[in-house]
This record gives sequence, structure tokens and C-alpha cells, in this order.
Amino acid sequence: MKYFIPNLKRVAFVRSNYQSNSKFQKDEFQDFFDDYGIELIDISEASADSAMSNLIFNKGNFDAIYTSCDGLIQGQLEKDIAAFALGNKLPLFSCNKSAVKKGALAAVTVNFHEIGKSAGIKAAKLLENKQTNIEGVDTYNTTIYINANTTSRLGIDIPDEIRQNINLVILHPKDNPEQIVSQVGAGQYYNIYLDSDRSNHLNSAQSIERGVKLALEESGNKLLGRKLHFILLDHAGNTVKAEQHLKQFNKDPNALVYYGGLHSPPLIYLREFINVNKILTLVPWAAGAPITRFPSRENYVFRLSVDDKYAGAVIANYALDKMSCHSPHLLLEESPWGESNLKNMTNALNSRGVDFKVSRFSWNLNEVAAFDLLSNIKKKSSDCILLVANVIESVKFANAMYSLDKADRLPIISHWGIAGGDFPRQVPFDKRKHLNISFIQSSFSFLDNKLDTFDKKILKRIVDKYPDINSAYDIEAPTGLIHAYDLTKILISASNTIKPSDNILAVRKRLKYALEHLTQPVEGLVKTYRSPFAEFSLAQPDSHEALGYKDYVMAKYGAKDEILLLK
Amino acid sequence: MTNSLKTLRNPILFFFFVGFLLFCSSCSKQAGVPKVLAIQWIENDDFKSNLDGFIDGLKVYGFEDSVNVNLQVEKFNGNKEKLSQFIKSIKKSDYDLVFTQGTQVSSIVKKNLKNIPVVFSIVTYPYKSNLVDLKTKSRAIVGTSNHVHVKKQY
Repeated sequence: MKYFIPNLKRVAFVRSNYQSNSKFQKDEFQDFFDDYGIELIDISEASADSAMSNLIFNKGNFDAIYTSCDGLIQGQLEKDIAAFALGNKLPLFSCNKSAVKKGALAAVTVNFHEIGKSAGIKAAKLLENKQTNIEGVDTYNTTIYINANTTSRLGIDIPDEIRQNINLVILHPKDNPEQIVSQVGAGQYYNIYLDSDRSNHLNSAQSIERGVKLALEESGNKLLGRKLHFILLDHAGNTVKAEQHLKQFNKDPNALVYYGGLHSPPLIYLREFINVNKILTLVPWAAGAPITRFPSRENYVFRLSVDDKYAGAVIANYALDKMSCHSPHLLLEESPWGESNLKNMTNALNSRGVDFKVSRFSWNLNEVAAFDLLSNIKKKSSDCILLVANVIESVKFANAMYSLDKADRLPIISHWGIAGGDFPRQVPFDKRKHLNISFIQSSFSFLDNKLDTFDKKILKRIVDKYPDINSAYDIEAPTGLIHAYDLTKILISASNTIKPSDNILAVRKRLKYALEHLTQPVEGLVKTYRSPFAEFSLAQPDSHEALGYKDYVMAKYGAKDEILLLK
Repeated sequence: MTNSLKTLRNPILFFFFVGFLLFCSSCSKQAGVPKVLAIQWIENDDFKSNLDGFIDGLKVYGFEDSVNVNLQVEKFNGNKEKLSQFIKSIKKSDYDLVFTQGTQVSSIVKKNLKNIPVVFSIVTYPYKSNLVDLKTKSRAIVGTSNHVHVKKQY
């Protein structure tokens, strides 16, 4: 790199965000670059399409690109990135020789045949029951591969320092760079954006992603006859990042649908931007009541999830009627989501003539503060807690509750943020069995012993598809998968009623209309949907909600960390 | 007409005979010799060359496919779903050794096919990714790495 670009300042490092090896490699590069004053721009994504989109979005912020050694990169993406680099006159360095053949400028790599052969020798020794061990990483010689076509296209010469290297191989691949470049953007496709908190609530984000993809498989991974690319983004619960992602969507001529994640605040804060820009937004998790209630017919947000407008009442009524709670204490996070629940729970409790108290907390709460809050609540003679929190804070409250004397522990009746991640692993069953925690869910579970043929077929596909799932017990944060699957089935059905167009705004407008006027029943997991949406108006404020309060139930975690519906 | 041809006029025996021929078309694999599963993860020149190298490495110790080892090559072209279905469909007793490429695939095979020796290649950080644990001697997981330190690449 230093010989080709002596004043190298910024490098885009493209990698997978879920493969450990690429993170180790990024860290290695980061440490090294820090010493040389080079900034590393981390293009870290979960899919090839997202990586490509992120790279395009960051164009102008880097002088060179490096593609890492992970499996995400070493397929079609190598070729697409090489085309992007050539088209933008940027030098691309890679971990692989094959990338150089596809148009990357250079790679310093081991000989893949040689390391394969060495592995074969180890295998032979094992088959003969002889001892063998892993080689040290510096055992193999490295070779510098350079693409001669790329050097001429970039208008650069191979530096003398590199020419003097005895392990230099200059490739003259048959691929014509012009041909490669012309392939970029030529495809007729739509981009599906999935923007959620992959930093702190990865389980929920992955669950949503799986539900969307599972449904789209049934339409051959196409909508309106066009192929789909998935852009997986991580807003980390940060509204500023979510806004950047929405702006990215808005600039993208192929952007069809934006799926939100678990958090309500980004969708509430950015509601106007979404609707003004006709960003067709599907919400399979976030429950904040205002999300779908933009006061205009030009409302582009549709939800299939629990709706706080009714969830608050379901939670409050369950506490009063089933838990014999007489003096509830609302414990709510400081956010628009907490605010929306304060309003709805207040209405529900007032309508029952029940007195209650309220405490608020922020996201950076620690366990000591959680313990103090709970101790104070107990002192105020409250006899149950209505909790609105996500997993991170729910874990802190559960641990704090466990720290109280057994006689002082109160039942927690929670919103479903608690089920958005690995709560059952962080608060294991041995601890949970000493606590009384229930939470709201929609009324479908793969663990239900009354699954019908359709449900069983979907479960089998999930088990066949994902290595980490061998039974319904292994599906983490199932809400995301269930809702995203059903919502996407509705999207597919709506898309079948309209015609494609090259004008993306026109397509999104038609799709919105089709969602609001869908008459064909859609079989889903929670239920069969009949006209799930209608045109929004202030007189019909629930018209962009596919579920209603009759579709909500309360649930508990079981001994195997599974979610058990309390029907 | 010979007796054998007469026999083939019997439809049941004919189908049995054809079935036997079809069966024997795959009989070039030798019975009673070690069975090796090789998983080619990505279909590009590097991974293909690596697999060719693996086969050459076996030959160094005299292991020839269909002679004294049965090698089954499965290609997945980066498709995790296909890999997952395949791994779930096979029995642990089907193979004496598995060859894998890449960290992700090697980890999946290590997790799902317990008790089978795994030889991996093209794994950049075998120790850091916990594929190889120096403290664990109970299971054969060995291989080769493609790691090139950033110093050499810069």
C-alpha cells in the first residue's frame, strides 16, 4: 500500500460484522494504522448488499479500499467492490489473489494451494493416527499479486520497490475492466432496508431479518418481478444514525421498503421525515403508539406488532385482574416509548379508578441505581411494578429485585422489551424462579402444542435453514421473526396487485395504496389477515395496525429459557 | 437366446439388474477405507486451488481417492442454508475426517459434527476465533492459516 500511495490517509476496510476473524483483522489493521496516522473507515455489514451500499454512501471519505479475509467478501462482493473501485479510480487492496483477478489492484497473500496441501498432509497423518499440530502463521511464504489492467486503468506504475520483490506476480486477467464497471447498477432490483440495533440487541435484529427473508423466499426472493438486495444497517438505538440511514434510503433509486427494529424512539422522532419522503416503513417490533399515527393520508408507516395504545391497558388489566395488584407502580424509561406508555397506562388505570405511582429511569442506569429505585418503590407500599424497559435495563431491575429480601420482592408485569434479546441467559432460570416476571406478547408461539400444518411447515423450514436452531426452543427473540414473517407476507400479497415501475416513488406510492386496499386474505402465523390495513385518517387512527388488542397475551420465560404464553 | 438374456426378459429381474448396474456405477468408491468429507465453501480460484492442494497433500502420504480413501467433495458457494441442511442431514458415523475452509464453516462443523477429526484451511485467526484451543487435547482440530500480518501487506 505504502509504495502505491505514499500519502495514504484514509482506508475503507470492508468486512463482515458477524464473523469474528474479520473483526480480529480489522483490530490488527486499526492498531497498525494508528501508529502511521492512517484513519480506518470501518465498513462493517451483515450482507454483501449492505456492504456495497455503505461503501457507496461513504464515497469521498477514503483514499483506498481494503477487503478483508472473511467469507462475506470472497464471493460476488469482491467483483462488485472491484468494479466500484475501478469506476471511482480508487486503489483496491485485498486479502485474496482471486480479488486481484477480478480487478483489485494488489494483494499480499499466502499460496492457497500450498496451505491446502499442508492441510492435506495433516489429514493424511491423522488418518494414519500420527501426531500433527497446527502450523504457525508465519510458516508460509507470501506473494504479491498485482493486476496490470488495473494499474493502467488507474494510471499508476508499479513502484520499483515492489518490482524488486522476488515474490511478485503480475496478472493480466482476461476480464475487461470496462465490462466489469458496466455491470454495476445495471441490474433491475429493489433494495430492502433492515435498520435495527445490531450493536445492543442483535437477537431481535437477526430475528426480524430471518422473518423477512423467510417470507420473501416464498416469492422467489423477488417483489414486482425484480430481484431483491438486503441492506442490513445498525442504528445501535441512536436516532442520529437512524436518520443517516433514512437519508441513505432516500437517495437510493432502488430503495423499496424500510424495516424498523425494536426501538420506538428513532421511528417516533423521524416520523415526519419518513412520511414526507414517502419512505414505505414496515414495523415488526417497535410498539410506540405514535409511530403509525402520522396525522395525514400520506402516512407510509405500517405495523404488525404490539401497539402501545392498547398494550398499556392489557398490561395494567392483567396486573389488576390476574396478579391481584392494588397499588401499581409504573417504572418507565425516559424516552418517547416510556412517554407513550405513561399516557396509555394512566388512562387504563384511571378508567379502573386505581391509584398508582410513577418512576422514570434513563438508559445508562446501573444496578445500584436500580436497587435504590426498587427499594423506594417498595417503601411507597406499591405491590407490583409495571415495567417499560428493554433487555439491558430489564436485566438490571431483575438482578436488583433478586437482591432484595424475598419478602420485599414485587411482581414485575412488563412490556415486551424484556423479550428482545438474551434476558433469560443473563437472568438464568435458577434466579428467575425466585422472581415473578410476566410480559406482553402477541398470541402466537412455536411452542404452542396446537400448531397447525401451516405453522409446522414454517417451523421445519426455520430448523432446516439455520444451523443454530434445532427446535422451537432455540428460536431467540421469536417475536421479531413471527411478526416480520407475517408483515412481509402481507407486503408480498399487496405487491402482487400492482405493476412495477422505474420510478421508485411511484412504486412506493402504489404499494402503500395496495397495502391499504388489500382484500385477499393472507395466511400468517399469528392469524389469517383480512384487510389488515386501511387508509389512515384521524377518525380511523388504528388503520395502519395489523394486530389489535385481542391478539395480545401475557407470557413468562420457562425453565428452558423459552417464552410460554399464558393463554 | 441365451439363458441370461431370457432372464432379463423377466421385468422384475431386469429392474433388479439395472438397479445393480446403477449401484455399481458408484462402486468405484472402495469399501473399508477411510471416508473424508471435503467442504469447498466458496467457489472462487483461491478456494478451488486450496482444495486441489488438500488432495495433493493426501497424495504425499499415499492416499488416493477411490483407492485407499473415499473423498466426498461438497460445494456450497457460500450458501449457509445449504450447508446447514447438509450438516443436519449427515450422520456422524459417515465420515472419518472432515476438511473445511474458512472460519465460519470450520466452527459450524466443529460444533455440529462432534468427535470427527477436522482439518481446516483458510482460517485467518484459528486461535483467537477459538477454533483451536491449545488446552484441549481431546479432539483433533488442526489446520493451516492464511494469515498475513498487516506489516507485510502495508
